[in-house]
Amino acid sequence: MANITKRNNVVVQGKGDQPILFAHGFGCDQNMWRFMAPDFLENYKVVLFDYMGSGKSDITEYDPKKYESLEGYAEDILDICEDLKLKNTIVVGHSVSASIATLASLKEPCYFSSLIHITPSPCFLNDPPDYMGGFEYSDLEELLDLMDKNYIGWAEYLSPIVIGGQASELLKGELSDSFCSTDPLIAKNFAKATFLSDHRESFSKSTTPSLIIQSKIDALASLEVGEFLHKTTPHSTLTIIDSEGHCPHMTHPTITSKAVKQYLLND
Amino acid sequence: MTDIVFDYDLLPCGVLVTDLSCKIIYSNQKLASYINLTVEEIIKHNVDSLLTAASKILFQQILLPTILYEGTVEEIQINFLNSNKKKLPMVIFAHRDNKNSANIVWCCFPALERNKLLNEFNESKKRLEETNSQLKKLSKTDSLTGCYNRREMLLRLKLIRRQATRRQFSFGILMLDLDYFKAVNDNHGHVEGDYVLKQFAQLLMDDARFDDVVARYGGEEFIVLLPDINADGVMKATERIHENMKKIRTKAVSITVSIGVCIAPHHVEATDNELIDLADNALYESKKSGRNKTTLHSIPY
Repeated sequence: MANITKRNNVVVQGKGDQPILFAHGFGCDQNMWRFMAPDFLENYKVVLFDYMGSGKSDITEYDPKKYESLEGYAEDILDICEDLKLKNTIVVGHSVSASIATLASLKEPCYFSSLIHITPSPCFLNDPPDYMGGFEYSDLEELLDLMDKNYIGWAEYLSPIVIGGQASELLKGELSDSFCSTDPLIAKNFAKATFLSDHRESFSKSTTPSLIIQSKIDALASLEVGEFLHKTTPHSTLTIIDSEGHCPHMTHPTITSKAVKQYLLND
Repeated sequence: MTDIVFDYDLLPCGVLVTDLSCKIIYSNQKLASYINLTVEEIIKHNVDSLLTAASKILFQQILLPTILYEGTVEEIQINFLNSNKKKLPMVIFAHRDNKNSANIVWCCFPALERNKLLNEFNESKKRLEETNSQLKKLSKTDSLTGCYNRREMLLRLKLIRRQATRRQFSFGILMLDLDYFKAVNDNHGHVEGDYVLKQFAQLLMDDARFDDVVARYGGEEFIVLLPDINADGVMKATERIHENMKKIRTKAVSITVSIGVCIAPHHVEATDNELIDLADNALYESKKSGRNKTTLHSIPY
């Protein structure tokens, strides 16, 4: 197997033995956990990584066919678990990563002890009359169009900005520049896999206990979606936290961490 | 220094101030008027609520995380919705003063012209990609018959030989030449000749398996590459071809084909050209011994 640590830019931190793996969502990289992950360093073995094609992952190993579907991304998680010999891992997945982690747990349940889903959505598309994911197919077309129109901003955002939290302005520039050569088609591939897929059935087959964390107000994953997911996912707990927006782990890291810890204590 | 009371509506852009959840605390008149709303209608709402669904995704998944992480975001184009549900493209610059600041300041510039330009640019890019893929296809194909051309056949032969070595199968090269084809051209004209060639190529392609390669080698000469096949399989294939020749409709009395075959084991050391020559020699045998037949040359295993 290829060098997974290098391929997925895997970073292992923390003083504990219990592994907790943080999986970022679409459009971001592991840096999005910077506000929340420190809360777990004392008691856990914190594992951070970038999906193939995101952040500082090794683009040369990117396979467009494999990453057309979320199953391909689930392989990344499984590869990391195998490589680090993780067992009974807690996976904290943001948004689409809730689906990815669920797919991974269905394939290799023994790697996982619990799944924490932050603002998950099993299906972003509307499927009336019984399910409203919030988006129409035409919205996805508009998203892809907007991505075409924001090439630079996109490429820069994906770039690894800070190493160890204190990168100089100069270093920032260098890293951004080197990343701009990345094919934006990769980002569009992830967008399609994320927003066109329907994993409602996968969640309903889940055997790993899970916590669903929803924001009170979230334009991407509504409370109805959270409730649907809770109702249809076996062994799931639903916690609605006092936050607004799709990224409570960035906007409200303290209460998000608290909700996770509380669940893990009671688990 | 005198105190200057600054009017934010003098700025040539819409201005919003929000908290970290993007709830709007302040809007200038200009921003509200861009989307046919009043300032009062905007205040206390989330920036989200002014955007198209697709823009909400970019906003929540890219813009906001970037601002929270980097403190600033520049020149991102998203679509606002005005009160008539019409899209207004806007370019956003946003800034958070420092990492402890509870507010984000957003400057929003209408981008109708820029959007038109980007649409044209993306359209041209798409057309270019389509043209490229068409050219790629054309460069592989024989324009008259639609089967592969000689160059592509030579490339595919290399691939088949590599597969043969890896998976240890023998492969066949068929060299086919229409009998007395010159007479068709001479007696009935080139249009009729082309018509016969097209039908013949189609007949070969219809009979081919999924990974067989049918190519026009030049004039009335064709090559068919058959991966993973033995002498028995080849003979059955050529019998079918001889039989199918009756289906070709032509003003000529009838048209037949002579075939030369080279079957090579996976580990054969001959060059590609040497293998093609062997098939060509076998074809020559077929021609010499009366035409409308197949001669097989098997390289011993």
